[in-house]
Amino acid sequence: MALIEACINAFEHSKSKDNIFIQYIIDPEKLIVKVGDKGIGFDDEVVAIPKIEEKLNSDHKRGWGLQLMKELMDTVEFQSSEDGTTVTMTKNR
Amino acid sequence: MNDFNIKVREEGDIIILETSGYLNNFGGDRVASICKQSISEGKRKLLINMEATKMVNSIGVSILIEVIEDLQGVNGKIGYYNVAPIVEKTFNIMGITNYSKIYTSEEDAIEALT
Repeated sequence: MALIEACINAFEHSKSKDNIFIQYIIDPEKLIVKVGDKGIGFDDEVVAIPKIEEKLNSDHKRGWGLQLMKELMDTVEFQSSEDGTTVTMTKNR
Repeated sequence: MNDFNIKVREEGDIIILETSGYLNNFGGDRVASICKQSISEGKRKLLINMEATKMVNSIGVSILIEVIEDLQGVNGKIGYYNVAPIVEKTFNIMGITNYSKIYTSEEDAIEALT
């Protein structure tokens, strides 16, 4: 689920026409998933936490992907520059 | 290709949608279309049986917010049953369970809405 949301974000927000990449690392203690793009970069700190109360009666009902990733995974970290973004998500066993 | 399907039936004044497949933007649009049509025909109680929908994404669920919004305008209600744990968690994170309800079974859902 978090992987799907990361892929949607990469496709929709990176503005890159290149493929995204997905890397899995299965560790005895945790699963690590990386999703990367070669887009314009991304600053997760400027993304507001969505609230259902604000989405109702608003024209913009989307914007939940980052929040879902953070809630469903144990850690979510972004490395971003003008050359692209890689999000690294971990789920502990 | 998307193999999302919906069967629709009525139980009294309740419209029941039985979905199967991945509830993404495509599936969400189809659910919303049927719900909006039902609302326009005067129906006010909607249920979605999600037994065969084990995966959703945020776009599909966002479209459900539109349905909740439409129902709020007519004092209607929407509920869900046979919801997979990851789907229930997604609904909770997105807050739609503050404005609609997950039931444990069709019987419970119909009883609550009747």
